[in-house]
Parts: sequence; C-alpha cells; structure tokens
Amino acid sequence: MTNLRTILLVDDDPNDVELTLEALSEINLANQVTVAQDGVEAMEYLRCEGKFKERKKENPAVIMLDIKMPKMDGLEVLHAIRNDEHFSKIPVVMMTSSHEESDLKKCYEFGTNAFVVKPVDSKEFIHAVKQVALFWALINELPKE
Amino acid sequence: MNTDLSSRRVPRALSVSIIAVICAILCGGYYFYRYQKVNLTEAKRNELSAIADLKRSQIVDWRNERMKDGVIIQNNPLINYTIQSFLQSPADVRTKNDILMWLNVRKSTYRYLSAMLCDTSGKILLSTEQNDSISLNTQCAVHDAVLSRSILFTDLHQIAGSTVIHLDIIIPVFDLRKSKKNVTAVVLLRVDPETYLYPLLKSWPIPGNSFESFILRRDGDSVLYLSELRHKKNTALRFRLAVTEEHLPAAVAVRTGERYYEGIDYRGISVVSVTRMIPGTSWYLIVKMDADELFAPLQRELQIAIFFSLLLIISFVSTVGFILRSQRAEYYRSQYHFELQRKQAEESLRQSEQFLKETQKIAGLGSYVLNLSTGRWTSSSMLDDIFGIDETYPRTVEGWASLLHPEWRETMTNYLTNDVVGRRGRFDKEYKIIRKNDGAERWVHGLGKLDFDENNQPTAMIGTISDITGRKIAENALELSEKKYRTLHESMIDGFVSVGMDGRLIEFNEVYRTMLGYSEAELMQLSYIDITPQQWHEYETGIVEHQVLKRGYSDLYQKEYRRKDGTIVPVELHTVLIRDDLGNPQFMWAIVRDITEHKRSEEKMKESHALLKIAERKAKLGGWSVNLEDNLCYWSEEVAAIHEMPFGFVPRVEEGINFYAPEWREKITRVFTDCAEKGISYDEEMEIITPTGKKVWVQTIGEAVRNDKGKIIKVHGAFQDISIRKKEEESLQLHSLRLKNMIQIDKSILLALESPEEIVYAAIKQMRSLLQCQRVSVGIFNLEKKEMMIYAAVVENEMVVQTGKVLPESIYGDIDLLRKNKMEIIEDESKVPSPSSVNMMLQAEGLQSFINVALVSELEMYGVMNIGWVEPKIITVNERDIAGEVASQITIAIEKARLLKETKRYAAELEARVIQRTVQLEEANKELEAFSYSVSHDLRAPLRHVGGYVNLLSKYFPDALPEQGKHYLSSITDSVQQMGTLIDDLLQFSRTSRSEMKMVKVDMREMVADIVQSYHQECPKRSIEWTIGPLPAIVCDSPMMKLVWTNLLSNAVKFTKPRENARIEIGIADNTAEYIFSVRDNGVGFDMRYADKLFGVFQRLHSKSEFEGTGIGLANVHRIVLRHGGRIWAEAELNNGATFSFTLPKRKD
Repeated sequence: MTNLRTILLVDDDPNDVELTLEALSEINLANQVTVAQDGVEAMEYLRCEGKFKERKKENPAVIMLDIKMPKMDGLEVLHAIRNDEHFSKIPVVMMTSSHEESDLKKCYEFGTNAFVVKPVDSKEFIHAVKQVALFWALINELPKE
Repeated sequence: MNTDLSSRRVPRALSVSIIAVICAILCGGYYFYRYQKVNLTEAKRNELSAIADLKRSQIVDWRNERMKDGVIIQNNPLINYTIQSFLQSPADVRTKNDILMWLNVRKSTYRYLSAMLCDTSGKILLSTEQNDSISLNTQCAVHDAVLSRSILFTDLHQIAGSTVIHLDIIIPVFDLRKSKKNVTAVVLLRVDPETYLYPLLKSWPIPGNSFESFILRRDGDSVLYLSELRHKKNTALRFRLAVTEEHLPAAVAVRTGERYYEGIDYRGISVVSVTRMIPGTSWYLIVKMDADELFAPLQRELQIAIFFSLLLIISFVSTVGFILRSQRAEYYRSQYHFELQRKQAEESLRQSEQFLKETQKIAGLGSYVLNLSTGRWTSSSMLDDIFGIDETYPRTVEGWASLLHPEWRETMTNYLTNDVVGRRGRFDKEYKIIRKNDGAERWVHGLGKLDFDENNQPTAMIGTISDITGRKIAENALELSEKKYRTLHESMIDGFVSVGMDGRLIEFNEVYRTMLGYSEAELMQLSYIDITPQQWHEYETGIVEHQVLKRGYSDLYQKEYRRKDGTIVPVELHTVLIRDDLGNPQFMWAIVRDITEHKRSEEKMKESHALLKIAERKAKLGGWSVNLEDNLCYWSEEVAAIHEMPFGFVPRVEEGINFYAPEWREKITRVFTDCAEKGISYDEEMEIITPTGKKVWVQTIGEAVRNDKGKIIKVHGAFQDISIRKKEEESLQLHSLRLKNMIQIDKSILLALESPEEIVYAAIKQMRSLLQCQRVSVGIFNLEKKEMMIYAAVVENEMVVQTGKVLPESIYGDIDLLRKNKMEIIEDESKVPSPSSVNMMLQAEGLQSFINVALVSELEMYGVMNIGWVEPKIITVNERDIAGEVASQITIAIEKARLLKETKRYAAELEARVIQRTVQLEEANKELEAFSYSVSHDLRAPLRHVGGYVNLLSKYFPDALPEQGKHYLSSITDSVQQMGTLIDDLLQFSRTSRSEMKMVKVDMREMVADIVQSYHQECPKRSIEWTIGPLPAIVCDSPMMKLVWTNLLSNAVKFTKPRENARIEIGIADNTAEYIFSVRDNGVGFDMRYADKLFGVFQRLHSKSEFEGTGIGLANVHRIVLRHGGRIWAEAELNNGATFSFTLPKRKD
C-alpha cells in the first residue's frame, strides 16, 4: 500500500489544512498526504529540495493548491509546474476561497485541471474535498506496470 | 496518257505483308493483356494480405486493451478495498453505492454493455443494469477464471431470449490486503462488439465495391459466421454452412488455416480471399473481394489493347488505300486536259474565219477582234495605221489602254469593261488616242459588237475603228465660238439689253432680267420707257436724241428703273447705236449697272465722316502733318485744342517741339528726325506743357509719306491727349500694389500664427515701402501696468527705435479719443498747437508728419501703430486706407495669437486635470478591487473554519454537550451559512457596479418566461397566476438584466406566499424615449412611507422570520437599472400588493 502516490496539499492556513485533512480521512484514503505551507515549500517538495531532500523521487498523484499564500502564491506555483517538463503532467486542483472570475480565468489559462471554490458550509466542504481526492487520486490512478 | 489501269491493282506481295503486320499487332495486344493480368493478380493478392494482417493486428490490439482493463481493475487498491468491504458487509448501502458508481464509470467510459460484480459461483451481486443475467457459457467461464485466477474472455454469444450479441470479460478479484491470493469475487465486463469489433470489420482502408471481411469459427460440422456479412442480412451467430463445402473460402479456411484462395463464396460468386487466424481465439478472419472487381481494370486493359490494335490496322490499311486512289486520280486528270486543248484549237479556228469575213465587209476601216477570255485582240493593217503601231505592239486590253489619251483612259476602260462587256451592250464611242508612232493626238470612232457562245456568254468582240480627227476639229471650233458668246453674255456682271428704235426690249441677259424682277416673257412685251419712272423720261429722251442718235453712243449716265414690285433701282448705263449696212439706225445696245450698293456706301461715307469728327473730339484725338518743304505743322482742330491753341495756328516744327516738356524734347526731336529722314515710324507717350502751364500726357504717332519717286515729302500722324488714361493707369498700379501687399500680409498671418511679432514686422515692412515713409512702429499696451511696449518697428537707418522699449501709456495722450477716432493724422507737426508727448517725441526723432492708428478689435484696444515721414506731407485718402487696413490685419493677427495661446494653455490645464483625475480614479478602483478580493477570500475563510470546527465538535464529541448546547451549535451553523450567502450577495453587488457591461440584444419576453418557468418547477404546490405582457427585445447586459428580473420576480413570489391565489402581472408600456416595465403582485405590499428605503443596501421592510433574504437584492436591481440609464420605483399599499416599475431608454441603434 505504501506505493500509492502522495497527495500534495498546499495551503498556508493551518485551519484549512486541518479541515481538509479531516475531510480526506473520511474516505479512508490510503494515499499519504503531504502538506506544504506555501508555494516555495511546494516547489521544494516537487524538486526534492530542502526538507524534502530525502523523500522518494516520485511525483504526487494530485496537487491541491490554494491561491492566496505568502511568498509564492498558487498561481505562480501552477505556472511553474506547467512550465517544468518533469511536473507538467501532474493533475493540479485549485482549492480556494476566491469567487473572483479573474482568478478562475487565470487558473484555467495557466492550465489547472480543476477549480474548486471552498464552500463555507462544512458538509459541502467535506463533500467537495472527498470528490476531488476520489477523482484525482484514485479513479485517475494509473495501473501499476 | 493512256496508262494501263491493271498495273494499279494491289500487288500480291503487298497483301501478304498487310496480313503479316495485322497478325503482329494482334499478337502484341494479346501479350500485353497477359502481362497485365499476372501483374494485377499479384498486386491484389499482396493488398488483400496486407489488409488481413492489419485487421488481425487491430483485433488483437483491441483484445489486449480489454485485457489491460481487467488488470487495472484487479490491481486498483481503492476498488479492491471497497469490494472487500462490500463482501464483508453487503448491507452497507454507501459501499454498495460506491461500487455501483465505479461500475457505471467503467461502463460509460469504455462503452461496455454492462459491468457487474459476481461472486465466485457466477451469481450477480451488483450490476449496472437491472435484470442482468449470465449465460451458461459465461458461468462456466467464471468457474474457469476462478480456478485459473486469470482474466478470461468468453466467445461471442447471445443470452437465451435476447438478440444482443456480446462477449464477457471475466476478471477474478483477490483481496489485495491478504498475502494469500484467494479469489473473493469476479468482476464481469460485458463487451458490445458493435462499439468496435464490427465497425472495424466493416471498415475498409481502400475504396472498393466488393471488399468484405468477417470472422467465423468452426462449430461442429459447420462454419459459423460471427459477424454480419456485407451481402447477406442477419448472419452473425445465425448463418452457418457445412465444413465440407468444397470451394467456400470459409470452409477452406477452417480446413486448411491461413492461406490465399480463389473460390466461390456464400453467394455463389467467384472471389479471391485471404484467411488469418486470430491468436487466443477460435476465430478465423477472412478478407475477400469479387474476382470480377479484381479483373475489372484488366477488362479496361483488354479494351485498350483491342482498340489500339484495331486503330493500327485501320490506319495501315487506309494509308495503303489512299496511295492507290491518288495514282488513279492522276490518270483521269491528264485525260481531261487533253480533251480541253483540242476544243480550244477548234474555237480559235472558227474565230479567225469570222474575222476574215468581217474585214472583207468593212473595207476602209480598221477592224479588230477582241478575244474576251484571253484579253488579246487582232487588228487589220488599216487599224495598225490608225493606231500607228507595228506587229510587235502588244495587242492586249492593256496595250489598247496605253494608246488612249490620258484624259480618256479611265473613261474608256470603264466603258469597255462595265458598259459593253458587263452589260452586254454595243461599243460605240468617240474618243481620243495618242498615235504610237508620231505621238499625235487623234480622235477615233470605235464600234464593236459582242459575240456569244452557246451558253450565251460573251466570248469575243468584233468591231471597227475609224479616224475622225478632221471632223472633230471642225466641230470643236464651232462649239467654242458659240460658247464664248454665250459665256460673255451670261457672265457679265452688268445687265445687257438691246432695244429697238421704238423702245421695245429685244434681247437681254439674265442679270438685266433679275435686276428688274420680271420674267423673260413679260420683259419682251415692254419698252424701256415703261420701266423708267416719270421724272427720268425727259432726261433720257434728251440723251437719246442729242448723244446716241447724233454721235452713235452716249456718255455714262445715271437714271432709275422701276422694278416689277414697284421699288426703284438706281442704275448707270452706257448706250451704243447699231446701224445697218445702209447707215439706218437699227437698234440700241445698253450696258446697265445696278448702283444701289454704290449709292448706299456713299451715304455711309458721309455719315462716318461726321461720326469720326465726334469721335475725335471725344477721344481727344487729332491728326497733323508736316510738309517737309516749308517745315510747317498743320494741326487738326483737336490737335490745336490739346495744345490749347486756336484752330488755324500753324507753327514751325521747332515751335511744335517746344510744346513738349523739356525732358522729352530731345527724344521727340530724335524720333521726328528719324522719321523725316529715314522713314522710321514712331509711336510715343510724352508730356507737353500748354501755354497755361498745364502738363498733358499725349500719345504722338508719326509716319513718313513718300512721293512717286520714293522721296519723303511729308510726315503725318495722330496726336491724342491720354492724361486721363495715364492717371487711371497710375492709380491702378498703386491699387494693385496695395492689394498685393494686403494679400502678402494676410498670407503671412496665415502662415505664421505662431509668431505674431514676425507677422507684424512683415506687415509694417511692406507698408513702409508702400507708403514711402521713414518710420513705422507698433506699440502694444500692457493695460495692467499702464505701459506700452514697442512691439515691432521698421525705420530708416539714422532713426533709432528700439523694439522692446517700454514707454508709459500716457505719452499717447487721450487714448480713449484715439480708440474712438481710430486714427490721428498730423500733416505738419510744427503747426499743431498743443502737441501730445508722443508727438513731441516723434518730432524729436525728426518726423514732421505722421499717422497714429489704433489697433482696436471688437474686444479691446491692443495698441497703436505709428507711421511717420520726415517732411510735412499731405496724407491722401489712399494712404489713410492702407494704414487702416494694415492696422486691422495686425489687430487680427495679434488677437488670433493671443486666443491661440489662451486656448493652448487652457487645453494643457484641462489635460493635466484629466490625467490627475484618471490616476485618482484608477487608484480608487484598484483599492475597491483589492477590498472586494479580500472580502471574498479573507472573510469567507474564517467563516468556513467556524463551520468546520462546529462540525468537528459535533462529530467527535457528540455527547459532550447537552441538548441546549447542540442547539447553539446548530444556530452557529445556520449563521455561518447565512453570512456566507450575505458575503456572496455583497460581492455580487459590488461586481454589478464594477464589471464592464456587454450590450447585446436580448428578448425580454423569453428571459422572463425562462425565469417564470423555473419558479413553476421550484414551488409546484403554489398557485400563481402569471400574466406576461408583450415584452420587446432590448439591447442590454444579459446577465445583469437577468438578475433584475430574477430579483423582482422572486420578490413577487416571495411576498405573495401568504396568498392562496397569487397573481403576478408583468407589464410593459412605452413612450418615445423609454420602455416602462412593471411587476405587479397581490402580495403583502408595504407601507409607502418606507418606499425610499427599498433600494438601499441592507434595507429590509420585513422581518427575517417573515420573509427570508439578505436585503441586497433590490439594491442590486437599482444599480443595474441605473447603469442601463433607467429609473426604478415602487408603489404599494400595506397588505394590498406592490408594483415595481423600471424604465430602460430606447436606443436608436
């Protein structure tokens, strides 16, 4: 089971992280979930640098990416991922509080796979996270070679 | 010519060789066909094999892919986990649903007929289809799969009672978490061959009419077709044929395996086929095509071969035939020519006989025969004499023509060809020739008649020619004298008349008759007395008696005739008496000339002389002459008047010259002397001085007059007073100069608006040269400082006026007076009793006279222009006008320059302000955007967290709180939700005012109907009676307008909730400028006292417990309507319904 690929959750808000992890736990997902506090850390994870130096060199199954973050925001991360040949195929789901159409447009321009507005209602929120994880991490998981 | 025709027959050798060539061609055609057939068969065989290989690999690939689907399902941990959970607790609906969802995803993604989960015995546990069943075959396969623990495929089959053909993939599932791999369940995917397999078989990579591919397998003693055939319906799993069929490719395939085979197919048609076996299955793939189609191109090749063979044969045979034919034609042609020559010889013999006969008949005359077909003629010796030709002369028509006199050549040749031969007439003409031997002109008379052949075609002309020169000369002489007399008579310009001694008119010419207007017969009845008026009778009788009868002729005398119409004609006549041999008077001749014209011109002469006199006086033009012998000047009346001397004054030449102004005397002396001595004419403009001292401009013209011997005896000429013209010329010149300068000034104003100093400078410079003044300067007032600055100045060298010098305004004295009068003129400074300070200053600069002109526009007085002269001067109206005009031009220039400067400054200021405002606005906009962004993001996040944690609290500590606490938690959840909605609404509101509007044409009726429809679906239990008026299509922002209607209608629905029968009416009215939309309901309404609070943000007129809502909706509507340029208002009565109305302007487009 350890060979299932990681889900990378990038969010600076510890509350959001906790609630998202909680939601993920509800579907008994076997995948490991790694949290990056901001864009910089997310890129470090992908490139196996900094505190992720020792990790197994494998791309995550999906990246759940917040937009508004310090240092390097979600749009920059998305842009960087799509322009790096090693990461460009990784599914990226934007998870954000923002309703703004401009954000939505930009994300799709940069090549996100999905754009999810985090619902205020907690039940809806849990449902949304579950759907994202199910679809991108499991159903879309490739068969072992 | 007589050639043996038998030798032209086709020789035997030729026939043999023709047959040989035909045989060779046929052989060639046949071998070509054979070669093509072998090639084609080989090519088709390769093609069919290639297609069979391609299809086989496609089928194999397809199977492998399905196999992979199975492998993926076996190894997916989530699915595995879920399936195991389900097997453990089949009652768990959630797990069941998860699996069903997943099966459905599989089914729809890969287009399976169905996907199921079965237990190891093949019983269906879950299926995407209701009432799904498994055939016995499949159940066996499930058993095999469970035992072998590998993925299996069933063959294509049908379930009893169903027509759907399918095959099943059986995937055993293990519990991945356990190390011991026991099959716990089976996933079964039902594949529809129609999705891929059958279309693949039906498709063909290259075009063809009879290509076919299908799969089959052996089934006992027969061959079972597994797919639909091209030429037979309903064959899949139904159609079977015996394995023993001898030529059937399908049977052969089952018997012998992969091969190429030419046989007869199920239709009984001969085909070529290729068989392939599909690995891993019992299937045989057969691809085939009809032999007919295969050999169809060969048919064409055969046709081509036959066609070309035939073509070669035909062309060969026809070439040989043509050669034989042309040889025969040559023979007949030579026979024909021989016959023709014989006939011609006979004809010429007949002609010569006739010629002889005719010659004998017409002795003494020259005779000829002209052969019309050859154009040649023969002549008798007499004719040779007439023509003066010998034997060698070419006797052709051209030869005859060259004998003709040049004047007659064209006429006669035309006569011969057109009149005689052309019209088949007789030749009878007298004409002139030039005799060949001595070149003498001779008249001849030619006669001739045409001879015709049996077809009535002229063949020859036979005739005579005689010399008639003698007769012709006599005739011509007579004719000439007659003609001369007649011509004289008729061509006289004067009338001619013969009168008998009794006065009767005997003979007269046409001129005479016309002069009197009678007809010839009438005149013959009259005597000359009858046509002469009474007063001339005595006079004329006297002339006849005393002159004509006495001495035989009259002097030239004048009298009058009366014409037939009664008018009088003056005539001049000369009469001669004709006597007979005995000396008795016989009759009188008179030459009569009509002198009407002469009389008239005499009158005119007198008249024009008088007119000339008047003209001379008017033009002040006279004549003079100097007799070089006595050196005296003879002046006409007018010349004397110009000199202011009495008429009759005859000065000597020197005296005349002394009248000229001294500066002209030398010149006039020179030109006069030149004229008198060398005869050179002159035409000069000079000035004379009259005795009263008046200077007069004159034009004097002189011309020499010579006597018979060429000696100059006299000089005469004309003399005219041209002082008026001179004056006009001068003033015209001045005027044009002025005009030119004005235009120059105007032009410089237009060209150099930027620099008024330059314009002014250019203007006054022009003016100085125009007015011949010594100084022009322009000063401009500074009204605030009460100063004046010299703006521009043009001066003569010695005077110094500095441009830029500042003077007190007061030196101009009374400026208001100057403004009123516009101009101040001082003609002599020293005579001004009380000079202003500027006057004194100018005087100090040496100016004696000057003009000061105010530069005044309608707006204000800008300054003063000063024009000065060093000497006292009478200033003319002209000069004053120039000064005034230039001043007004300068004023315009200055004014324009100032206005321009002002405008530019103002524009710059405005632009700066606009830039500043724009920056401010942009900043504000950015702030607003940032604000709403953080509202959207930052306000929602904590809210979400509150909700999330409340949820966690109740999830993990369900028993830690009493009921009351749980109630509080649910209240918190509700509030969070409400605040979420509120934030969303607020954002929407801020977006309505920020976002750009996209104006499109929207059908309002459609939009409203859509919204109303959605309410029907939302609350089907309510009874709402909708009335929708004829709403128009309007140009607006569609999403925004939808928001307006949604809000208004949802309000109406909301506030009619308490009504059992709600009525909502959507109306439309319009005027010229706008549409007025209204939504009327019979709901709870509101108190009009609060109507003004309706459209504010967060304004609610009802408590939340009564009617839900955030209170932002109408604020939104208000804003949208405003942004569309409309208005919105509401009318209502508490508990009695409300009407919301809004307007949208009508757009012209």
